[in-house]
Amino acid sequence: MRRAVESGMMTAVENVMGIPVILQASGRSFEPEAIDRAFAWLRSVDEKFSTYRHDSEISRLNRHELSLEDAEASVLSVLMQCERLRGQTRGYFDVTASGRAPGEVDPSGFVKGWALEGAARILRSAGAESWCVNGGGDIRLAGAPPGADAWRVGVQHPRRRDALAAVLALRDGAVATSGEYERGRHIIDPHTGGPPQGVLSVTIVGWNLALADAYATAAFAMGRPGAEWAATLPRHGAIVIFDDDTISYSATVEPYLAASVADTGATESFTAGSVSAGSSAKG
Amino acid sequence: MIGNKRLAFIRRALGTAATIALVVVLVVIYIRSSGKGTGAKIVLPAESRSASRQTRGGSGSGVGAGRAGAGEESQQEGPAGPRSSASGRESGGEEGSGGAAASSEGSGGGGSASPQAKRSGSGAGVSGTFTGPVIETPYGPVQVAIDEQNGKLVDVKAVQLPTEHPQSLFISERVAPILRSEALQAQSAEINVVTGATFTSEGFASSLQKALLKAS
Repeated sequence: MRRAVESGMMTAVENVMGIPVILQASGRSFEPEAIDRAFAWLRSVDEKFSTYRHDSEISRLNRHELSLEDAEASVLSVLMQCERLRGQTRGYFDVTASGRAPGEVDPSGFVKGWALEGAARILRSAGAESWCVNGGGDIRLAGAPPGADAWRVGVQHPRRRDALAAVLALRDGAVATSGEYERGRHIIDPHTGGPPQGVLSVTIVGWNLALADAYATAAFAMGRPGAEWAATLPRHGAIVIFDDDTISYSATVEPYLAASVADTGATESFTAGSVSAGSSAKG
Repeated sequence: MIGNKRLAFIRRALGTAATIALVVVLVVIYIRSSGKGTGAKIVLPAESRSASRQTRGGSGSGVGAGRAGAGEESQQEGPAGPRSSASGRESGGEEGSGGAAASSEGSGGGGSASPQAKRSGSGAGVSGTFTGPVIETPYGPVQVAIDEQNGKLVDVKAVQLPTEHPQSLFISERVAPILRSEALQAQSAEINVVTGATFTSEGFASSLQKALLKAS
């Protein structure tokens, strides 16, 4: 009985940063208060970075009430990482294009993953051996749930509510998905200003949620060619679902694909993957 | 054109629905993994209107799930799949004081998962209806029940969904069927978590928006 409790998972849900965040953790020496600390951290990030908050550092920067030199170190660090990602993604991940007005920045596409990554670090340093941080479907996890060898992550088919496009088995990693609607707003191709063409969703499997999230956003914004680009990312896997219902799996994601999704509506879409240039198909 | 007020309403509604959806999927997973005879205990933190918390009784077998190669920041590594992680689990045979989880406290009707039919043994082949705990969300209480036949999930029912505010009631009516199919499919593939477009996808958002626009 005690052992059952010991080996159990602590789970908590809270709405932060405009998304529901689920924290799960277990470990023989895990300190449960870490869950409160992790949520407190997420709330503090939201206070600093939200463009919906009048008094956030980002809002004040955008109103020119605050200069970059006077901004908090974390704000500067985040904006620099965003800038680096802009170069790395050939401008497809661009926090200066996502602002609500020209000249404004909205780094929330990076901040969410970055904040969740920080929450994961808090859980881990508090002794969590198995844990899962889930922010509205973007996930950072390690270990395995009770009784399992790995976390099984379903990749929702963006069009068919009753189908999974794939199932991943992971023991340490980050999974982020970008789709046509993300947190209530459109992802646009910053080069054309219009919505990307030909792609329904991009799922990136990596090791850092901030990066995985930014890469997923960028690859989605690229439209169809995004699949090829994503397949070239070192140490990242990609699952791209096209609007003709074909799916491409990068070679790097194959080791994480769970063997079977039998008995589900997902089988069909799972095996219906087709080859897209630069990536290998499953099935 | 859609007015700003209506857009704000839809945005709020989507947030509500997403939270409820996640809670429902989570609770279904919780019932299925905890109901195997170990008497799961629920702890709701006292301060929490917005956070609900469960301590889950595992299935009793050794599930220490040792993590391989933990290291500090695994900046240089790629993601680790089950095959690349060394040696897997150790048996979690530690004794300890598990006392913290024993109480059910705080606001809003926490309760332990209460199977109405006894689950036995390894969980294979059980049948019956299993009711989950009441989970407090910022929008009100959520409680679900699942039907299993021969160990297979056949139905998910909402026992309680938020009805406090007209908005919540409205969401509950529209969203319940979507939640049901979502929870069913997630469980049928033995999924622990779902990444998507799931709760913010075009399909979900637009069907919900249509429903909302029609009714408002």
